[in-house]
Amino acid sequence: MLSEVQRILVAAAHAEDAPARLRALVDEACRGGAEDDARAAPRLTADERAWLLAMDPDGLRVTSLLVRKLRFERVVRGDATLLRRFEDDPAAFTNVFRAYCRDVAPTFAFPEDEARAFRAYADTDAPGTG
Amino acid sequence: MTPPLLGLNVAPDAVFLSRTRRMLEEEADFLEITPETLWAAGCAPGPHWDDMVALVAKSALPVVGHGVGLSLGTPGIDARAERWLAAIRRDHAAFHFLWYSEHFGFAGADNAWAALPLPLPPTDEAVQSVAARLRRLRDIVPTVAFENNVGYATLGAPSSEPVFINAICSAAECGLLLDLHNVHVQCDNLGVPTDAYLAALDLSNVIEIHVSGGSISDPRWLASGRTMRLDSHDGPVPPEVWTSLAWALPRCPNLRGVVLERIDGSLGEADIPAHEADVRRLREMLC
Repeated sequence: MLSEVQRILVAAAHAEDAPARLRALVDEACRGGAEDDARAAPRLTADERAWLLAMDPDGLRVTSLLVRKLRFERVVRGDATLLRRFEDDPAAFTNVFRAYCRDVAPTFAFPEDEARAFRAYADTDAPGTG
Repeated sequence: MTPPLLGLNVAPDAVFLSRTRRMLEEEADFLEITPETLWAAGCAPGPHWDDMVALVAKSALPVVGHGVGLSLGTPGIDARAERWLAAIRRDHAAFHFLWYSEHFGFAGADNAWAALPLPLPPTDEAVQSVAARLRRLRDIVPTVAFENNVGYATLGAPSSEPVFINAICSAAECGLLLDLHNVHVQCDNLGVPTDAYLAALDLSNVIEIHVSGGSISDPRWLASGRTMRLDSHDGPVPPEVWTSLAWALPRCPNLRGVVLERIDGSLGEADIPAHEADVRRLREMLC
């Protein structure tokens, strides 16, 4: 089903190991759910499963790097103070950003929203911010 | 046949506009804008929206829209898509787009946003999903198109992508924005002969062509050290793309314009001569 293919691809694109994440999600989708789960049937056709598993792993990794780069750009473009924080200490900022990507779902399309969410995460006692 | 027009992209970046001003004023027959770069949260007009309206009015040039975020391949029309379409409608009232294009692929799913258009499976379901969103777009701007994207990994054989593209153009009754640099990048990365890819496209669908340059990925990105071409729009047009343009121009009977793309932030002072040379070369090819 198209929506399931897309759910898997977006989730893999945001993962640090996109090929591994994709394989895990495809396996989960093909196992289906519990008997009382409305999604009990496999959620991918045989073709969709084959296409996903045949995706070039390096291409997936490059895609993931670009998707996460775009998320980073939304953060620093959405708030000039966050850009300055990055410039002051790139390594520390990057560590917080990686934790943010793991803990906060990538739901924001606009820089100011992404930056606001990042600032809220970074300014609390979140992992990696200490 | 009327020669196709020469277009240049404009971005809400003061430095970029300053460095491209002469080309915009003296060479461009039309302008291409990406409306969502002018938006703030909730698709509201952002701080540069009024400036862009004024710039376009002052130029007295026609404008086309080239979006990234409508997410053509997402099934159905959800609340987010409705907000996006409403913003395009608002912008069309201000800019009077000659035509409007979007990227092939999907940019988000399950409330997660990728921003980068991701590949679609070559299925009837995908064809119908893309066609449905293009039809909604056409309710706003009468002439619409979608652009072949770069997939660094594709679903299904990349050599079959032209068949998929042709099917969407037919189902949606829309045009194709043929990005020749994207073709070059994807074919080179995935081992598909560029001439075979182009020959398989129904070029009667092409209403716009993009040419641009790009870059090569850092070898540290991949553990294998492999590099890939990137559609970064940050360099001069490479020879292969000029060759493809020369091949394509006489074969696109419905072509209306060719845009030389350059991303803002990538044009330093030292890059201006090469960029202007690309504009002049494009002009010579279109005459």
